[in-house]
Amino acid sequence: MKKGFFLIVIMSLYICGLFAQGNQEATQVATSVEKPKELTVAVVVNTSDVGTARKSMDVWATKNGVKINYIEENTSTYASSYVLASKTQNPRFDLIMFWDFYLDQLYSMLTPLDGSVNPKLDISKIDNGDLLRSGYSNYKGHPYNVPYGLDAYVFYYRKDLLDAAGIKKVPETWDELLAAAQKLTKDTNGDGNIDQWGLATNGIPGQVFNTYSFFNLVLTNGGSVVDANGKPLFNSPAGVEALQFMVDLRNKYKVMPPDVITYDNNKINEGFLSGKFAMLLHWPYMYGMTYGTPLEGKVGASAVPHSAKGQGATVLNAWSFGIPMMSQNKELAWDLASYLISTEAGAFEFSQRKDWPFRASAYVEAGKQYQIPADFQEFSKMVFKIADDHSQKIIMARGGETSIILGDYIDLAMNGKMGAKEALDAAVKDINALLNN
Amino acid sequence: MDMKETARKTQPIVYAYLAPGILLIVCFLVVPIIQGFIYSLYNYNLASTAPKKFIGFKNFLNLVNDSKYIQTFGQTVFFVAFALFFEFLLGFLFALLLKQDFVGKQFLRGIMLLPWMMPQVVTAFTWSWILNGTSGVLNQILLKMGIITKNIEWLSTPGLALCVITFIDVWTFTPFVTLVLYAGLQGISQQLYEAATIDGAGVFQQIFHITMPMLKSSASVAFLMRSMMAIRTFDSVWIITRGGPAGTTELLGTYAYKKGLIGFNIGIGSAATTIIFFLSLLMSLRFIGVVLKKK
Amino acid sequence: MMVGNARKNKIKQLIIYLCAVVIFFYTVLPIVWIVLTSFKTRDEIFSSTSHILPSSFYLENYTSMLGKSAYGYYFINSIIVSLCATTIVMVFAILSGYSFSAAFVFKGKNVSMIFIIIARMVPEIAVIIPMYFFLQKVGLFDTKTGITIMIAAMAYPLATWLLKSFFDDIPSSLYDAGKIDGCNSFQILLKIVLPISGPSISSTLIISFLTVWNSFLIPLTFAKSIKAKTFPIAISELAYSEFGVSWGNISALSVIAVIPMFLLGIFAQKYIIAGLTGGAEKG
Repeated sequence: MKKGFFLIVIMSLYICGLFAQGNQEATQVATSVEKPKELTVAVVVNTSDVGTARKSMDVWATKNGVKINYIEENTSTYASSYVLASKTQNPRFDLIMFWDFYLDQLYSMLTPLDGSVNPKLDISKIDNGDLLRSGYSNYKGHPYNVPYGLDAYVFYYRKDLLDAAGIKKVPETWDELLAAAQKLTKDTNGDGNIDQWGLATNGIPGQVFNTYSFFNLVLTNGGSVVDANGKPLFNSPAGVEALQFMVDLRNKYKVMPPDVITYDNNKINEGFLSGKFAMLLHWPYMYGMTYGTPLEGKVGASAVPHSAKGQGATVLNAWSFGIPMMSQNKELAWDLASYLISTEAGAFEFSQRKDWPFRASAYVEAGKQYQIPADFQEFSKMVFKIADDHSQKIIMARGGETSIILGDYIDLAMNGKMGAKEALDAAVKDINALLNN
Repeated sequence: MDMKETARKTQPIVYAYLAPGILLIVCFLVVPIIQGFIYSLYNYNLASTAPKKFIGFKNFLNLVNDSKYIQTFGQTVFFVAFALFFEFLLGFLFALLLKQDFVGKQFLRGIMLLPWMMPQVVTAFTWSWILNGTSGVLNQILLKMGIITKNIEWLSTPGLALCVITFIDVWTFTPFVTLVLYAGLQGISQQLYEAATIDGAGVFQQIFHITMPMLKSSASVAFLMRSMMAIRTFDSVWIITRGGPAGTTELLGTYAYKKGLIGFNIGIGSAATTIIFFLSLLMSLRFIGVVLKKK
Repeated sequence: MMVGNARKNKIKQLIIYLCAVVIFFYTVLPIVWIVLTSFKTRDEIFSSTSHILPSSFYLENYTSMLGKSAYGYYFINSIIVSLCATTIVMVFAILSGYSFSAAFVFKGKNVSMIFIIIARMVPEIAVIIPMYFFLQKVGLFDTKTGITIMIAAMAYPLATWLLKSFFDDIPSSLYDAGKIDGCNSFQILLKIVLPISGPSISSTLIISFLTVWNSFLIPLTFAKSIKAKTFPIAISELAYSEFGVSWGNISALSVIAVIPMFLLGIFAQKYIIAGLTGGAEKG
């Protein structure tokens, strides 16, 4: 027994040694004279965009003979990971994937992409006139992100349920939305419980959940979310009205399910696909998810309804790529980034039906190369148009922390523990205290 | 015993035996906790460009004044208290059961270990799925049996969610407590019970007057270990509710993670983790003595 | 009187069986449910009328996961990290436990023991940030080695403590006998202590392996690429996918993760219990 035991000990230590050794070897290769081209790329894995992005990156890597080391981050912690990495200069990322909502926290570690640091790194040079300009707008004077996946909110509705309830016109205003939702909230199987709700939207506190639902309503009420420096403007009267509307939908009119305050993307997806609610405010990928389910063909989409005094508008953010200043392979990384928003990569991205590129020509190319159902093309045209016409990019100052503060206050208001105005004012107060600290 | 011990000289080789382990924990546990404590004294925020300043105990004051933290603290106390209570209650009953003789005892012993052996990730998913408000099987069964008339949102109802998290912890860790208590039960001599029966003591009296007192040291071991782990619970909450409906399942561990690693605020995050450490220390002080006096 | 006793016994047996059955189902049903779910199609999973049993052995959940070879790597990572960490823990803990046993007397024996217990109270979350900077500096960030050492450090105190209690039971006469035979302390360890500690070592080994395999927070923070990521982390990432949770896939992966534990539980429970039992004699 003890002989076997020691054998295992020795073998295991040997294996450990091998792996420790393995790590050393990798770094040694990199510093030897004949440098094979290598890039360290950070990707955020629980997103829809990462699948297509990685495939495109692998295509580029093979074509150019570059080895890509992928570092996998997850959606909750990637921003702080990047900031930490920039402080310790390790891992020395060459290209990072991020949602441009966090630009305020990340821009100081990124290379400006207007040629000011390196004339080759200039996004206007690869624009070709068909890149959606709103995708890479300046922040503090420079563009920092290469926009890959378009994220704007869309209003979805069950065509069959609207027809059955006799609603002829697709809701365009808040009043119409409310009226339709009230008609569609019902008990369908006669057991005394409401099992079909009129409307739902992301409601769980968090960076991009209930805050974004709120932002949509602020924008469609003619209000502003933040100023050019990312400081909060959402406690304006327009903003308070927007939050009040959201709260009323759940608590007063009861057209949103009470557990909407726990809805993250998964619950929304599950709920809508199982018919729990008839209408929805959600990200664009919902449409592609209906294929192959009983809902296929029954879902319509249009712009987020606006209030009487507002107009059609939506938030616009992009899953983007940026090149950290600490990178020692900036030009190579730029080559990769340019490829990712090329027509070819964009067409591939679009063909997977979960993400929308920022380049108009990508859609045309995709139509030629891949089989895209006509209704999906129609839907995507609409999404692109919405993003082009009425969208506003949202970047909050120190968004990682401030959005959590706001999310918590919205949650309190939704739970009826605070009034809408009280909550928003308190949020702004806390946020300003944080920003001025 | 004592005489024999003092007769031995101190052999220096002992230090060589002890060294690797002590070195390991000094490097990877002791130094970091001290560093963490130092961070907690600074206004260290990854996101702000201002250099970190020494602010003394201000972070701790901020925590105490943060109503969310107080709520989290209270929830953790609730969680630890009830989880431990039920784990010990059930653990004791299960251990008593295992002492009996019946067919399939070995099999049951093995099966019973499963919840504790499963990765917490899997446990979290399993229960998330069973308790899913819309499509979970528990609701479906209860509906069919007529016990409830509409779906209960187990994980989305404030208050209920915390009870559910507590239950899941009980389900996961009762086997561990059962094991330790069972081992303790083995150490109780059968003769004591026989003598008591002859004296006319009933089953319950025997349990109270013989079993429980003699289990004290095993129970202390189990309590010490479980309480340390329960206070820092992170895995299951993180996967099941992420802090829950309206923050009602936020526990000290998830709070610290959110503040530190997601919210960029190293100072506050470190303060929160330092508090967890001192809490564990406090809870176990009493029991360390009992446990060490095993001889 | 005899008849009364026999009946009391029968009732007692009945109650015992009843309890045993209840405990069995209470423990096993959730696991059975996840296994069943792993074989269901998407529609079956989400349909509002429940299908208890899947209509057929739908293997797509498994094949689609295995096809993505990344999960194979994660599983192997888990195995390598767990085996190495367990080895480190066992070697260090045996040596340390031995030094705390009756074989030795030295200054600071109690202090060291308390030190180790207190070290155990350090929550992982407290060491994450300082360790982040440290691991970066020594180049162990996002490597299996770094994670292995950290996990070993967390599992070491418990293993030492367990082994110390077991070694305490060894009568000092055995040590004396070894000394008389002219063995030095290491030989005593090898020839006397280890052979009779089989059950205790097995149980400590299994408990350590479990702790290490199920470790979550440390790999979550420090494993960022396929080089180092472990299986539980990979599974958890599926749950917070922005895009949609595939319960079928998660169930399939969960089953794969649980099978080793299940086998271990059925076959090794003797050792775990024997080990703990042997160490409880001092009660």
